[in-house]
Amino acid sequence: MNEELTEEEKEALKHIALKLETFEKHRGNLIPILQMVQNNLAYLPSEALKIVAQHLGIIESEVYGVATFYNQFRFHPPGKYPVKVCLGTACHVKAGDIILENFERKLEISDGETTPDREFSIERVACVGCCALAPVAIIDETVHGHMAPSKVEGLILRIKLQEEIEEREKKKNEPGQS
Amino acid sequence: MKIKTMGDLDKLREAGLKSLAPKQLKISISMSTCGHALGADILYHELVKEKAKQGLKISIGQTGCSGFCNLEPMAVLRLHGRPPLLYTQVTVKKVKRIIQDIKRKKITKQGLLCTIGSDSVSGEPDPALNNIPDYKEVSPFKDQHRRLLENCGIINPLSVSEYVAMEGYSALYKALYQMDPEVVVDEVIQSGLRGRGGAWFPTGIKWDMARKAQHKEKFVICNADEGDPGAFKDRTIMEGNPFKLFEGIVLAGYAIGSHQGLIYLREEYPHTYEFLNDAVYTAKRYGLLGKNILGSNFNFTLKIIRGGGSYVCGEETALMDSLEGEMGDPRLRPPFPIEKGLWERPTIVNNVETLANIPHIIEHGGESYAGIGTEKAKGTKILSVIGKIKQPGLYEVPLGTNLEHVIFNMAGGPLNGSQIKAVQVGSPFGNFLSGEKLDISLDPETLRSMGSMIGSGVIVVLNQDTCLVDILLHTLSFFVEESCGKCVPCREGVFQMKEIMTAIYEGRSTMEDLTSLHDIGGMIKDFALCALGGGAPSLILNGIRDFRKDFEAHITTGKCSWTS
Repeated sequence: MNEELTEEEKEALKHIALKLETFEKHRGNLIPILQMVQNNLAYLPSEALKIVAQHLGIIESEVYGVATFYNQFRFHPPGKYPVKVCLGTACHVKAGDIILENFERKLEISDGETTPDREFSIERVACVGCCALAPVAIIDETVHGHMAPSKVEGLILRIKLQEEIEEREKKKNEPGQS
Repeated sequence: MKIKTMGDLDKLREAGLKSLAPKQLKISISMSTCGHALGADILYHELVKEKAKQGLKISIGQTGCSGFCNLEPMAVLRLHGRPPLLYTQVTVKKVKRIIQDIKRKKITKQGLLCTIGSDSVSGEPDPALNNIPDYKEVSPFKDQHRRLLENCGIINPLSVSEYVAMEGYSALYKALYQMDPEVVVDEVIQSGLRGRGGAWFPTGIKWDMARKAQHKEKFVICNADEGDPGAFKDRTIMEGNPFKLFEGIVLAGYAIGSHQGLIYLREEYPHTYEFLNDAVYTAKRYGLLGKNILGSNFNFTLKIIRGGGSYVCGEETALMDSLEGEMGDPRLRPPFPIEKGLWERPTIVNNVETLANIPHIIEHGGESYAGIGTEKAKGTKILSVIGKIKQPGLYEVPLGTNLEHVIFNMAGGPLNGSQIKAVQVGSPFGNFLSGEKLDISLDPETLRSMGSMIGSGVIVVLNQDTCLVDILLHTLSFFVEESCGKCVPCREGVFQMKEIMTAIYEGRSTMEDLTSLHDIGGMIKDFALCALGGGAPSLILNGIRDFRKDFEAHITTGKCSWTS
C-alpha cells in the first residue's frame, strides 16, 4: 500500500474528498463510499482510506478490515486494461486455468500483479455468470466468451494496436507539432 | 405517465400489444451481458447505421437473454401478420441478408431456429413458415415450462407496456385493490412456494411471521448475490424481465407491511447494475415504484445496492452485515431476520427467482400454482446446466422432472458423444452423482435422501476425461477463498482439507490421508457456524466414497487414472 501517489491521483483524491460530503455520515454507507473511491482511483490507496475513516468518524483499521474482506477492493493500482480470468466451475472444467496461464506468460506477470508500465493486470474471478460461454475472460469490462489459448495473444495485440492508433491520432490532431 | 386506474393499465396493454405486433418490420437484438460478450452491441449499431444508409422502414429494438448464451446474439424478427421469428448466432452479414430477403418477400432460413407462439396469430397457417417448428417443439425450448423465463428474450426488458401486454402488473393491481395483505400471504402459503436460493424454506410462512412482527419499519431484501459458480438464472431474470421481479418485490412489501426494498446485487454483474437502475427509473416514472403505486395508498421505494464480491454474503445474515457496512460475517440465529434483521428491523430476504414467482401466484391463485411440481415442492425450477454438455443453458422445468431427461433429451447429452462420469446437482455444495445414478426426480426431497441437494439449481456435467480429485480440489479452493474466517472449523479445517487434497492431487500422500480427511470433515460438519463451512466436507467425503478409484490413482501413481 506504499506506492507513491501520482499527480493525477492526488488530484483525484481532492475530488473524492469533495464527493464524500454528498454521502451521509452513516456506517451503512461505508461500502458504497469505498466503491465510489475505487471507481475514481481504480484502487484504494491508504490516503483514501484515511479520509473515508475521518468522514464516517470510525477508526482507519476498521475501514481497512471491511475493505480487505471483500474481493472487489484492490490496494495496488491495477493496469489500464485489467484482465480477469474466470475460474468458476464451468470455466474450470473447460480449462480456464490454461487461459490464465497464457495471460500470465504473455504479459510476464502473475495473477494479482500489474505490468511495470501499468498497462495490464491479471486477476482471477470466481464466476461472471456467462457459464454457457466458458471459458471466459474479461478485459476492461468486455466479456470474451469461448476463450482459447490461441486467442490470448491476439486480444493483447489488438489492445496495443488500438493504443498506438489512438496515440497517432492524438498527435495528428495536436496543432503546432510536426 | 403514471398508471392510476385499470383504464390506464388497459391503455398501456394496447400499446404493448402494438409494439409486440408492429405494422412494419421490427428486429430486436438480445442485449444482455452474454449478448454483449458475443458482439450484440456492434450488431445493434451496424443495424442502426444500415437503416439510416438505406432509408429502411424498420424499427430496431432489444430483448434480454433467453438463457442460451452460446446461441447469442439472438434476434427476434416481427413481421405483420406472422408469428415472431427467432434467429440465433446472428451476425451483421446475416442481418443484412435477412433484410434483403424480406424485401424480396422471402424468409431467410439460415439461422432461423423457430417461431415464437405460432398459435397466437389467427387465420390460415402461413405457407412460408412450413417446416419451421414453434419454440415449444424445438430444442432447447422443448419440454420446458417457462413460467419465470417466458418473457426473457422475447419482450423488450425495459418496456413497461410490453410487460403489461404479457399480463404484467395485473397481479399487483389485483392485490392492491382487492386483496388484504393477509390474503396475499395466504395465497403464497397455499402455493407451497419455497425459497429458491438453496435453503428451500417455505416463503409464505416466512412472510406470515414478518407480517405479524410489530414494527413500523420493515425491509424486503431481494438477494441477487448469485454467487454459486455456474448459476446465472437470476441475472437472466433481472436482465430479461426486471419488472416481473419488481412486481414480486412490491407484492412482498405489501404483504408484510414494508415500504422499503433493497436488491443486493452481485458485484460481478456491472452491466446488470446499470440496467436495473434504468429499470427502477422507468418504474418510478410509471408510478410502479414510489408513492401511491398504481394509484393506491401504498408506497414503496426500491434501491439497488452493489455487493462487495464475497460469496458468503449470499447467506442472508452476512448479506445484512454487508448492507450495514460491516464485514460479511454470518450471525448466530436466533434472532431470525424476521424479528431482528437489517438495522434490527423485521426483514425478509428472498432470492430473485423466488420473488419472480409471486406475480403468477397472485394472478392465478396459490392452488393453481401448486398444480405442478411434486407433493412437497411446487412450481418450476430454473436449472443451469453447464460443463461438458452439448447445449449448456437455462432450463425451466416443473420440480420433479427426471434428471436424465434434462441432460440427455433437453440439453443434448454430453459433448462429442462421450460418456458421463459424474453430475453435480446443486453446485457448489451438492454431491457428485456417478453417471449411473441419473434416473432420479429433481426435487429437494429426493436429492436430500441421496445425501445431496438441489440448491440453486446448478447442474455440472462431467465426462470421462475429467478427474474428480481435480474438480473437488478446485471446489475446495473456492471454499477456502470464500471462508469469512469467523469460525475456526471453517477457517482452519477447510484449509487443512485443501492442504491434504493438494498433496493427494500431486501424489505426495498415503492412503491414511483419506482417514484424516474423514476426521477433519466430521468435525467441521458438526461445528461450523453456517452452511458454507458445513457444506464443504460432505462434498469431499462423498467424493471419496463414490469415486475412490480416482483418489487411489492419484495417491499411488500421482496422476489421474485416465491419463495413463
